[in-house]
Amino acid sequence: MRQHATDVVSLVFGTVFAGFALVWLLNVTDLLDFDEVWLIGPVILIVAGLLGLVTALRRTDISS
Amino acid sequence: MVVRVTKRAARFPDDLAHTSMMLALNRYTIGSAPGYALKHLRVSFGKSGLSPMASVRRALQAGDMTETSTSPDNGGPRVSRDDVRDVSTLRRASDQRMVAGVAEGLSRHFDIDPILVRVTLAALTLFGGAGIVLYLLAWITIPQEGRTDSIVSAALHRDPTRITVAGLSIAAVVAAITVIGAIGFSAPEPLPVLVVSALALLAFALLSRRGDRQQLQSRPAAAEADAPTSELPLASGSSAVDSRTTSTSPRGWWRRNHGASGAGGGTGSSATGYSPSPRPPREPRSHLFAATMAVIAIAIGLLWILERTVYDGMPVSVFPGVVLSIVAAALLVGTWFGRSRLLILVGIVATVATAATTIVGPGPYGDTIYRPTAAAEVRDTYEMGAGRLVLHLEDMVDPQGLGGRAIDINAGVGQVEVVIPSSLAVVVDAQVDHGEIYGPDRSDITQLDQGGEYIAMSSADDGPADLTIDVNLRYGEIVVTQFTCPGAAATPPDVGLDTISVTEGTRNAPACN
Repeated sequence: MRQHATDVVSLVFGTVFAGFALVWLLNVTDLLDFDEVWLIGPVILIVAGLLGLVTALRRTDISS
Repeated sequence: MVVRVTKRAARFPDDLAHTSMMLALNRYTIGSAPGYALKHLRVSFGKSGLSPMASVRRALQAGDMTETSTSPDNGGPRVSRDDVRDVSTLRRASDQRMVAGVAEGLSRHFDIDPILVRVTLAALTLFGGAGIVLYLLAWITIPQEGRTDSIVSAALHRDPTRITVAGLSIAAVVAAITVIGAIGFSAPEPLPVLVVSALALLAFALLSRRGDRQQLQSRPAAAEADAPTSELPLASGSSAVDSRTTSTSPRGWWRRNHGASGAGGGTGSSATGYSPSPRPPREPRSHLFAATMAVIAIAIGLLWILERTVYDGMPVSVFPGVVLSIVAAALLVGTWFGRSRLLILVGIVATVATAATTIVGPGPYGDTIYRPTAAAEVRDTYEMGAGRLVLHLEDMVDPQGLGGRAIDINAGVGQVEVVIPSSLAVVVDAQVDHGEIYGPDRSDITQLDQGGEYIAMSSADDGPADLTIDVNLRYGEIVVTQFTCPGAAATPPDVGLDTISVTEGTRNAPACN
C-alpha cells in the first residue's frame, strides 16, 4: 500500500482505542486497578484529542 | 429476639483472592465510616458536558459559512440550506445501500458522510435501541429513489412529504427520549455512556468537518484549475458538483476517493502540499478493513480454542479486548495506509463490550434463586455475573446445621437478595462498589447511597455469629431480609422489605407458632 497523508480521524480513534485496550490489558492482568487510576481514562481522551487537534491544525497552517 | 443493625467503618479485606475488587471498595468504605460525610461522586453531565462539542460544531459551521461567503465564485456548497429544508426531495437510495438505503439517502440529502449516519444509528441502537426504530420509521416514511410515494403515504393516500416530516419528527422524539433514558438509567455510572457518546460526537465533528472542507473544493473543474492548492485528480469532480440535480451519482470526498490509497485518508489535506501528478481515475480498493476483520476472526477462533483447551477460566473480556486491540492497531495503520474508518464502528462496539464484560466478569447470568432445604445443600460460594441472585435460607429444615459456616456471594451487576434464617445468629457483611444496600433497617442503610459496607447481625443472644455471609457486588443492590418463622409456608419467593418492620434498629419478632 502506498502511504497517504495523515488521516486525523483514524489517528484519533486509533489512539483512543489503543489507550482503552492498554488499560483493559493492565486491568485484566491485575497490574493496575482501573478504579484506583481512573484518571487514565480521561487522560487518554485528552491526549488523543490534542494529538488530533495538533495534527489537524498543523496541516491547515501549511495549506494557508 | 433482637436484631441489631450496625454500620461499621472500613474494614480491611482478608480475602486476597479479591484484592482488586477490595481495593476498589476501600475508597468507598472510607466514605461510609461514621462521622464522615458521604461523598457523592455524581458527575454532572447535562448541558455543561455537551456544550463544548456543540460550540465546536457551531464554530465549524460558522467557519465554513465565512469561507463560503468570502469566495462567492467557487460555486458554494453543493447542497444549499433550502435543499436540505426541502424534505420532499429526500429519498432512500437505491444504490450503495446496506439495507433499505436510509443512511445513504439521508447522507445525500444532508450531504454528509454515510458512515456518519450509520455510526449515529448504531450508537442510538446501543443506547436503548432507538437506532432500529429510527431506521424502520425512515424506511416506511421516506420514498425510494425514483418514486414519489413512501410505503406509508401510499397506504394512507396522504401527501408523502407530510408523511416524511411526521416520520422524521417521531423518530427525533424517540431518539431523544431513549438517549436521555439510557443516560438516566446509567445515572450512577454515566461514564461509559458519556465516553461512547463523546466518541460518536467526535466522529461526527471530524467527519462532517472533512466533508465540509471537501465540499468547498468540489467546484467546477475550471475553478479547480485556478486553485493552486487543489490536490485531487478530480476527474469526477464536475459530475460530483452537478449530482444534486440527478441525485443518483455519488458525491463527496468519500466516494470520489473511495479506496484511493494515494489520497484516500488525507484528502482534506490540501495542506500537505501534496502535488498530484495527473492520473487516470481509478478505484483501488483498500483491503485494510477486510484484512482487519479477517485477523479478528482468526484471533477469536484461536482464543476460543485456547479457552476450551489450555486456558480454562479465561476472562470473558479477553474476546472483546483482543478485538479492540486489533482495531486500534489497524486504525493506526490506516492513519497512513489504506482506508480504515469503518473500523471506528467496530472499535466503539468493542469498547462497549470490553467495558461491559470487564465489569460483569464471569459467571452465571440471569435470574437464579437458591432455596436450599437442608444445610448440606448450602454451598460455600455463590457466583453471579449479571442478573439477580436470591439465596433463600428460609426453608431449611435444619438451620442449626449452618453453625460455624461462612458463605461467600460474589456478584457483578444486578441484585442480590439474602433471606437469613432467624433462628440463627447471622452476620451479613454486604459490600457494594456502586449501588445501594437495603437491610432490615432500610432508612439506615440507604445512607450508603454510593456504595459501602454494612454489617447486619441478627442474634438471639448477641453472642458470636453462627453463620457469616459475605456479599460482594460491583453494581446494583443488595437486599437483606429476615424472617422470623422458619418454614412459614406463606413466604413468597420474591422477598420484599415490607415483610418485616423495624424501628430504631430493633424489632419485636412476630410470634411463631
